[in-house]
Amino acid sequence: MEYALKSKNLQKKYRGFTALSGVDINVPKGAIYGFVGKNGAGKTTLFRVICGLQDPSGGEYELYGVKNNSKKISEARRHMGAVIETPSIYPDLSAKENLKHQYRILGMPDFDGIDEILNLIGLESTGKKKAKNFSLGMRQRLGIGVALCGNPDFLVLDEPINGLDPQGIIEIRELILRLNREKQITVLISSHILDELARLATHFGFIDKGKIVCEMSADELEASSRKCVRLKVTDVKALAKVLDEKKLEYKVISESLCDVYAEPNLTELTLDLVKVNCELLSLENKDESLESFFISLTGGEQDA
Amino acid sequence: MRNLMHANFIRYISRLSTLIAFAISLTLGFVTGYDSVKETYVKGIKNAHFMPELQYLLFVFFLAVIVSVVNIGSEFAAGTIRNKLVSGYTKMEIFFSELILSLIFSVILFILYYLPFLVKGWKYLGDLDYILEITALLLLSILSLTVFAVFLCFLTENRIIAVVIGIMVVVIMLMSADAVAKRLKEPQYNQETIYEDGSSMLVTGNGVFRTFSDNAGTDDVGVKEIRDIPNPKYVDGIFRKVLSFALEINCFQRIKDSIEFFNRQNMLKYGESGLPDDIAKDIALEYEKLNEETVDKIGLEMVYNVLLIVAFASVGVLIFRKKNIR
Repeated sequence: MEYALKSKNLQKKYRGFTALSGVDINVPKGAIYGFVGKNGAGKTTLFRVICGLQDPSGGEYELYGVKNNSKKISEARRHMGAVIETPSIYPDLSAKENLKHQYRILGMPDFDGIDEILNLIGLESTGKKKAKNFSLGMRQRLGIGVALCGNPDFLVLDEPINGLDPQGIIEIRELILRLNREKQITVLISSHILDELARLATHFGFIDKGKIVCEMSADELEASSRKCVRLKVTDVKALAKVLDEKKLEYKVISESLCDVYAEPNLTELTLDLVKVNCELLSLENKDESLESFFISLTGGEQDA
Repeated sequence: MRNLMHANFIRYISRLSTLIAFAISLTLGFVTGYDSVKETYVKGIKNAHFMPELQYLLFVFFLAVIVSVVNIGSEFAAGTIRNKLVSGYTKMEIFFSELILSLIFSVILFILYYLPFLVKGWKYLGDLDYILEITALLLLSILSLTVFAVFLCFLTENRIIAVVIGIMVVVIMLMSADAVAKRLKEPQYNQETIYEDGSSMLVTGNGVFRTFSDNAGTDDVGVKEIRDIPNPKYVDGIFRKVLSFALEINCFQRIKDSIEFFNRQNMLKYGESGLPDDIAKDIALEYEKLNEETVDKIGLEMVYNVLLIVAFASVGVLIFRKKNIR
């Protein structure tokens, strides 16, 4: 598999504080990589490091196969566009002028493509209106528009839907999906709104205390968080025997807990359990979402 | 880096704040030029003096600081400096592109101020070599201050702090030049004259002080003794060397000297203005000597300015390379 970004034991230390303590992240090309972590877990620090805003204290990372200590890393960054925390736009310029300025910075020979970007981000009709008069959602979209100048292959978006209203969230989500599907842009995105990430991402990375605790694809996450019925019984071995006879898929969690990946007939199941001297103590429907998966991973509150 | 400079030049030159600064500088140049020509009478003969005023030039220094800081500060305030790093530019390229552009804008501000001033005063000014030296000194001074402003901006990442510190430095340098020069001019000894009636007269840098005895009363009193009394305000030893050095590296002292120099140049042309030859010759000799001293110091001051430019640029880029951008 080819990767847009790979890191190995990446570290970032500030005075008396370790923000990244050995991050190993692998963002496959063409993926929408949802980056999940609590406040202060190290998400933004990782973004700042890979964007070249800050130097790592240890470890290394590769952007499109170019190592961070290579002289070609600045060239490799030309594949990237990024919006970190707040959109980097000039408030005294219009949307088009902001994009033109970015084109000049990148040394583009002409301004072809600016209208296409404006259409893509839905700001084609803003005319001479200055960015300082834009709504938060419009500014976020303009930030993404600036990041899209120069046809990047890799987009880094840090909390792009923070503070947006539901309509704004939908617009950004659809924009990211279009960019990924139509332009094959790899997207690394973090967000506090995990349900939104779940709708977007093809891959997930979970970071806690400056370390990646788990990386998985959306399919793997779905498999590990399927709907199930969690049963609490007095004898889990007896329950397993009954479930085998009924050919139901299950997973033993502990000596008394078992997840059943089906909807069993409870009357029949209870009668069968009585026959093998096993009591059904409790029953709970489980619908494991990204949020609960994250909590189960980090053991923390829902502060992603 | 050329693309980055091109993009930023277009952005900065089209900013309203930059255009206003250019307009102010040009206006100050005309005002200085017209305001510097003053008519006086020497021994009853009308004479035109060309006496530039320092306060107008100071405004151009302030403008250079403000333009640099507002332009660079806006990049930090809007977070757009991050775009440049993500776009593949190194921190060194970003620092030097901003530095070079700030220097270019300061040169434009200086030219806009200096040209009308020079055109108006041309016929009053003297030797072209001297004028060129002074022009080079003024230009280097404004450039060293610009580099300092850029350094502050990258250090603080805050345009308000950078503007305040930059302007404070200009004011402190100007005031300290006055204070230090005055302190160094204090004589080592004050002369005290004791009169036969017991009264005395003390001549110090701050004036003449007389004390009268009870027997005083006659106007025609003979001098009993003249003696030198050590001046408590006189500084010597290492402190004197430190103050002398501080004054030497203070470009405002040289600028003040230069303005006096303009005046002396004008004085050298007294003969052309109709003064009797013998008076003009005496004045010419006196000022020729002073000019030589000034020109020597101007050369040294230019070296100091170049050193300051190199030092602030080097330290600035080193700090910025290690800086964590948010």
